[in-house]
Amino acid sequence: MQTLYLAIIILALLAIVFGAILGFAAIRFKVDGDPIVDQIDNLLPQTQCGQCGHPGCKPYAQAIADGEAINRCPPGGETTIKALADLLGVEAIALDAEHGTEAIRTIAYIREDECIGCTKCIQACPVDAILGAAKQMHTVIVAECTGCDLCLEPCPVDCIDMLPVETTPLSWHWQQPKQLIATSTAPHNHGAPSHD
Amino acid sequence: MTKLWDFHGGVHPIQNKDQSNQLPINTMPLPKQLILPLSQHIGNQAKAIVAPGEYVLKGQLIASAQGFISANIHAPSSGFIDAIEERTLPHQSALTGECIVINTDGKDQWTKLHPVSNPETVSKQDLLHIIQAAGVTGMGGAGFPSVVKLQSKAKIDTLVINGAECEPYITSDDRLMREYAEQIIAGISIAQLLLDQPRCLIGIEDNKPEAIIALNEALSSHTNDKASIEVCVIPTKYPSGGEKQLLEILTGLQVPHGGIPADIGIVCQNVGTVKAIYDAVVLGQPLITRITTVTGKAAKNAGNYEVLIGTQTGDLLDFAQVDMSKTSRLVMGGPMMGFTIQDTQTPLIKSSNCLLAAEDLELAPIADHHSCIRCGLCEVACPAQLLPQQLFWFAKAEEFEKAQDHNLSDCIECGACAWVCPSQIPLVQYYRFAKGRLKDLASEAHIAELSRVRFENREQRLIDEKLAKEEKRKNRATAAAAAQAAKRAANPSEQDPIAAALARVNAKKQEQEQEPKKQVDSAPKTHEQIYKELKTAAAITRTKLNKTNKALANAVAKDHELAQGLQTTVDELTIKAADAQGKLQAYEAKLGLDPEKEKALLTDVAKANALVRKLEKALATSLDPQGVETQLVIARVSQKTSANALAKHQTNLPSTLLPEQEQ
Amino acid sequence: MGLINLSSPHHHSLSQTSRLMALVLLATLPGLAAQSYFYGYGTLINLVWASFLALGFEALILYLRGRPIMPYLTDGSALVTAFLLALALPPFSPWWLTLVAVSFSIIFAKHLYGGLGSNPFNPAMVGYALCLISFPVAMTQWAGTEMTMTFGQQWQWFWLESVTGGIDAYTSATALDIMRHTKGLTLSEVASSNPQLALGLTASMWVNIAYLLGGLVLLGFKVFTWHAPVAMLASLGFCAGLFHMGEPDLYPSASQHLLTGATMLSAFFIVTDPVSGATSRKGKLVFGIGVGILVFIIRSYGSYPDAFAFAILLMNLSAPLIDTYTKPKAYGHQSKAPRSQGRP
Repeated sequence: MQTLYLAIIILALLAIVFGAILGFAAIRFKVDGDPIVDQIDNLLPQTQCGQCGHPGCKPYAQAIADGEAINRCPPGGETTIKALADLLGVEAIALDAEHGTEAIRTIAYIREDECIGCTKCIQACPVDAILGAAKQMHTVIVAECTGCDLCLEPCPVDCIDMLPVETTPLSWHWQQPKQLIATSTAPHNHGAPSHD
Repeated sequence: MTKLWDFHGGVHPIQNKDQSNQLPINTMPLPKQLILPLSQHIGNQAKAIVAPGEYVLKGQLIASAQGFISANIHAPSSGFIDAIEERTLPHQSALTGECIVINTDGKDQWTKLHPVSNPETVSKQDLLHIIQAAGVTGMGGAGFPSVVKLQSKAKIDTLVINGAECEPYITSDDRLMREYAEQIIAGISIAQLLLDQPRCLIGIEDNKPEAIIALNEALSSHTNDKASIEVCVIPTKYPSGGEKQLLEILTGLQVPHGGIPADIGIVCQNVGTVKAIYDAVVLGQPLITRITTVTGKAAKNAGNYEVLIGTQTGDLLDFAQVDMSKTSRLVMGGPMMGFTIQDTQTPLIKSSNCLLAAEDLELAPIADHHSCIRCGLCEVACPAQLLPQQLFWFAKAEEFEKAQDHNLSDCIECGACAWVCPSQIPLVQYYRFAKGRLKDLASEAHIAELSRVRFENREQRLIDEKLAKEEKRKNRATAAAAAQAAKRAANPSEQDPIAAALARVNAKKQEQEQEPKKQVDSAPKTHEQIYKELKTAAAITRTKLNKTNKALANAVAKDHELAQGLQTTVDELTIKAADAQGKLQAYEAKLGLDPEKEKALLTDVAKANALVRKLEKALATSLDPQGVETQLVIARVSQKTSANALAKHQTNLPSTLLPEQEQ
Repeated sequence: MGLINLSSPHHHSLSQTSRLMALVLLATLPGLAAQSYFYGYGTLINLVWASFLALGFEALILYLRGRPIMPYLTDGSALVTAFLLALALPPFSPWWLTLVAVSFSIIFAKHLYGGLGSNPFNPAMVGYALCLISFPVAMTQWAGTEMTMTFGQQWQWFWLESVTGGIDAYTSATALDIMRHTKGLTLSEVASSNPQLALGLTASMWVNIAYLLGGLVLLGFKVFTWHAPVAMLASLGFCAGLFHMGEPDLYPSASQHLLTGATMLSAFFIVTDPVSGATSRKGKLVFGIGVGILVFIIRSYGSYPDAFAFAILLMNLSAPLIDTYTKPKAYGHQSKAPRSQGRP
């Protein structure tokens, strides 16, 4: 009987000691990570286009942190979904087509002759990338345009075009070589010939 | 004899240099047309300073450097500027870029040159300026503006001259060293002068004995007691001519990751570049020619040619009697690092050292590649001490971050790994793909970060504005309350609120009675003020009417009880609005104002301005400058006319806008 | 002729995987000859049978995987696996033993992991280990060297596992087996008491020397670098020498270890397998050292006749880990002493 008590006491003591060590370590070596919303926000493309149904990327990041689906960001596309899935430890799902499809990156250009200087696009631009004043011609700061499309709708004279970003010799690069021969031929047809 | 070191890896491809190094340098006849890309160098694109149709002399500046890292471009021969337009660039992408096209006139007439016969008599600053103005860039391949390296802030103790020419087939530096040894040594002296007399090591592979002899002979007659120049014969091994590799061979030092040779006290220049420095300073000639090797079995007259920058590859290939039917792969540069071109109109630029028109059997077979068996031959060959097979896996799996961790950015794309690969995997293309994607990702991340900051700033600004408005409103409210309190304090007897209210009413009544008088008392209103007031009154009533109309419609739609009341208000407002509008129009008539006309005039002026601007822009780039000029003149006239009309219309106003009393 | 667009380099050494594999196959010939000389026709019959099976399975599985057959079949990798298995299996293996080993190697160890270049384990060693565990008796039947069978007898044995006249007289345990099972006696004592063993040791030594020759040829042709085999032999020799110095009665000497069993075959033909080995040169050193130590331990304390299959498979398992810790320093990443101003 005595050994039983002894065992219980020893185990209890051990539990207390290790518990204390673990507890101390948890406090002493605490790693301060970014808040999850910031981490999510960092993975979003920051287009601020609102296609996800939120007024910008940060609000969507907040919504994801609160449990919204991660597949509502068309500009980020699959890459972003995959990164988000990795971060949050959930399964990567296909892009929700309801919120738009993945498209090539574009930049807004104002046909300056036609601009009447109404400033409506300036107010719509989520990243302040349009320059101009009332009754003055407006122009887009190309380097800062995210291609979000939000300026198209308010323009009363439809003088804004979304043009794809052009490839220059500086931005051009090689594509991945064609696959190894291993996959260059179509798989054989394994289907057995029918006998009927 | 300086001690030599070795670098890791390297390969020994068949040299094939005797195809082209047997004959002396041949000067190519003047081509009919020259195409000069505005970006022939690393750094900012130069800016054209000539216009189409203009006549330029040989050596005249036609495009000026923009910023510190950029280079001037000169006319390689005399003639007329044909156009400034997009042409195919000598670049792997085969994309187009802005080029100046010159139709040569055959006179080849020089502009005035300013040679400096004794560089030691000139100040360093002036020398640097001469070299900068001459547009000298690295002739070895990368095309880095030379002057930037020559004004290094760090202390330089070694000047390395790269005459290794380790790529197979290319012999332009070989022939240059054989035939221009003295000029090269003189160029080196100028560079030494600029860099505070460092020692100079000329690295040459031992497969160029004639060049070594020529340089040594030139050195024996050269006297410079301030700094030494030594020809270092290095073993033939590709890529010993890579800047980093050559430095390691000659000094045993490695350029630190992400650094430049100046970080370890070294400046490296190509032999062609020092010859160009000599030409620029001693002859006063800007960089307008270069030696280019034409080689490969498809070239009947393989050899080295002195060509004008801007010569089309097709012209040179014709002159060297290249049988284009024998080759399916035209390479600009060497077989290890050169790039293929598809358009024979592609011009030769300052860094084009070779055109390789090889028969198909001479080059790597275009074969399907096999699986990587991780044999490790690539690792043995890699001069950057990387793990090419790992980088290949990462690039193939698009795990770019891992590739970065394995120092992909240190890859110099020399091609040694792909050269040895028994599975014939295009490794370099995989690395280029991964590097390109990494660059894309970095720029995307940069843009995203920028957008995030701008978005957050905007949000903050909007919130601030809202708060400021709120604040203002509150301040006004408290100020009003304070005024009220002060009023009350000034009049403490007023205890009874009813009495006070009555008093206020009375006071107001009195005020109102006095108001007409007040108006008369105050300064007389100008027509302008009255007009504005009337306009505002009309606008206010109009807005009120609109709003009430909307409310009415809403109420009717919802069958609200207020509809009846609103209807009466609308009726009243309609009358009021009509009244205000009537008053306004009456006043306008009285003043002789015509808002419609003014608007029309304003539009005219804007239209005319826009047209002029457009034509001015067109004039700069147009093929038909005369036609555009005529149009521009007409447009300017109409611009002036409309502006005058508007001014006249507006000057009519002040005369009628004098104070009423004086009318 | 239209001009094409390709990435550099446009030049190639014209080395080919198939050529490398052919070199490896050729380099096994001295060992094959020695083995046949001492142990009879068994190895040769095995070799032909294994090659036939390997090519057959390779073609079959390539077809099933929907891959082009000829490019892969001609790269020689299946033949190398077949050769290694045939040389490693005892000369007295019956047909079904080779069949099991080859089919498992090609189908499971190679193609189910993605085929050439993607297999984490050396296929031949996986097949060998499988047989060693499943059929320990068949795997330990080595021919006695004093008696060689005629080709006909060997052929009969190969298909029927019996030979007119009785086989038992012809088979014997390997030298290593005897060494292990006669602890307490010095080797010379064992050898003098057992003439068969003495002969076995001599045969084994010559076979090993033959493989060493083949390996040196490959090294000369730069098919692989010296790091892995030298590290392996050195570490095995070192361990053996150390223990032998301490207790010469219990542990055979370094030279015994290096020249018996499959030491040289493994060192130059299996440890050097690039697909399943470590990547960098430093990694290859670690890999080789690991194999050497494991071989010594398993030979000295384990219960299997030879230790290479397990030692190599264990090190294959650790190759990714080794790779992680032996990444070479790239150009410009070396920490050099700060530059002195007054260099010569």
